[in-house]
Amino acid sequence: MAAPEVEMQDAKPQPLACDLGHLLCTDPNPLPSLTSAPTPADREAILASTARDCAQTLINQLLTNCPISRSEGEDLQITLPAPEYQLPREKPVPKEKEKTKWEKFAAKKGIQKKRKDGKKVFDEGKGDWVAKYGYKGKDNEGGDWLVEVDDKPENAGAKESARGKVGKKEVRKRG
Amino acid sequence: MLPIREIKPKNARTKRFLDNKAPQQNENARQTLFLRYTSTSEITNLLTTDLCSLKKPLSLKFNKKNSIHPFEDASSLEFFSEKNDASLVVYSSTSKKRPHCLTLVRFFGYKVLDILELLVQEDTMRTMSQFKNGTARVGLKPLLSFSGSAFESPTANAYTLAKSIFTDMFKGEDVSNVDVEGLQYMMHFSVDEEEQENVKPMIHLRCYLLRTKRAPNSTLPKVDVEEMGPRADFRVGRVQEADPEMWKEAMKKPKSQEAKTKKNIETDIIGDKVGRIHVGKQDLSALQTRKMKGLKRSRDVADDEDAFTGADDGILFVPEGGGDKRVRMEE
Repeated sequence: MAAPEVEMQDAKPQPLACDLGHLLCTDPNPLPSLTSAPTPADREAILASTARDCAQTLINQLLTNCPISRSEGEDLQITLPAPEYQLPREKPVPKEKEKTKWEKFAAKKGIQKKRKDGKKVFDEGKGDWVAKYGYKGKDNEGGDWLVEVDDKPENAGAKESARGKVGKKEVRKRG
Repeated sequence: MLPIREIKPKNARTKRFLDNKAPQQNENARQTLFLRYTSTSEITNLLTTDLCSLKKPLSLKFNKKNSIHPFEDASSLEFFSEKNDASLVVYSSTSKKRPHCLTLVRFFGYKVLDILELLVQEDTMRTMSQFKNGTARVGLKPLLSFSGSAFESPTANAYTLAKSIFTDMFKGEDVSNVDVEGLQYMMHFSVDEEEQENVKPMIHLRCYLLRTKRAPNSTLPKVDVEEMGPRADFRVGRVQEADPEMWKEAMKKPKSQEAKTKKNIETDIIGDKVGRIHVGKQDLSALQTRKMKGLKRSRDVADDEDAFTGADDGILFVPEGGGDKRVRMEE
């Protein structure tokens, strides 16, 4: 808890409100009358004390309500919340881009964008990414590196059937 | 004046520049342009120089004289705004009728949104160089504070407008992180109470450096202020409030910034966050009820009879069917 010195010097009738997103503090209490202050120095003292209370409140709020992190550069960073006091925009909200003819058509048909799967897959045995196919590819790894020459003609399609791959064209030709 | 013709980017650099200038979801910080009328006073010159240096690097100062009357015809200001991509203009002028006058103009889409005229009081004005306490580093985000009841008026008036414009002007860039070292100075705006009829209360601008000391038996520091300057007292002059249509347009939030309401999460009276989750339909067939000797299944009784005796025991408080379950949530 804060020591009394850190608190306001005299309690104010209305609490000060803080908007930490803007580092903004609002003190709704009426200012002590400056005309009653005889010299300009007294007036400045009044202003300085109200300013001090605002600063103290703001710093207290910042240090108690905001997460503080220390980055690698040895400086303390305070994470601020989003501002509450809304200010007008500088420029109008950007309009949404008009959909292209293809995008409209795709939406109507329910066609969704397909992400490319990439050419590599993760090999858990190796613990590394390997090519799906081709040189050192996943599809022909662990295959028979030594194959006996088969003289019999009925086993001519063995290589293809072992891979389980028969092209569409091939099927049509055969059927 | 003719509007600036639309440029179609011919290379990537121009495109980047134009994209940066175009309306954006999350906007850039406002640039402030300092301009002067054909006649200005020493007071306004010194003050605008100081304000410009406080606002660096989001400020731009032109020294050439212009003959613009913002309340009568602001089209030249709009041109300046568009040309320099500055959505705030501080226009200094002096005349017999309005001595030491600063006109703050805010723009929306390069069109004038609102105008506030401030008359600097000659006797109390002090520049930054007149204070020997040192200055804050350039380009820091200042702390802002507004004291006085007029700034908090529920109805829009010159003072609520002043608060809005001052905040907009000095808040700097919108950031999610600030360095503790960067909290070096505070701009304090205060307004007097209305004491006489027909005399508008004055706005006092003071800038203070913050000095923090370690307070005994407290984790929080004790803050002290030292004046840094500039110091100025303003009397409020003419005001042009925003056109309601335009204001509404300017206060619109883009869809991405609207706060989404989360379903099934509430905060109760104590302030605890409570969520409801769907637990699915419960399977009551395998439920274990109270074990009693009398209810024990005898060997010669059929199974279906046994299931019936367990049901009227009256100790089950299970919602019928699938139900909602209240769960306290960890934050």
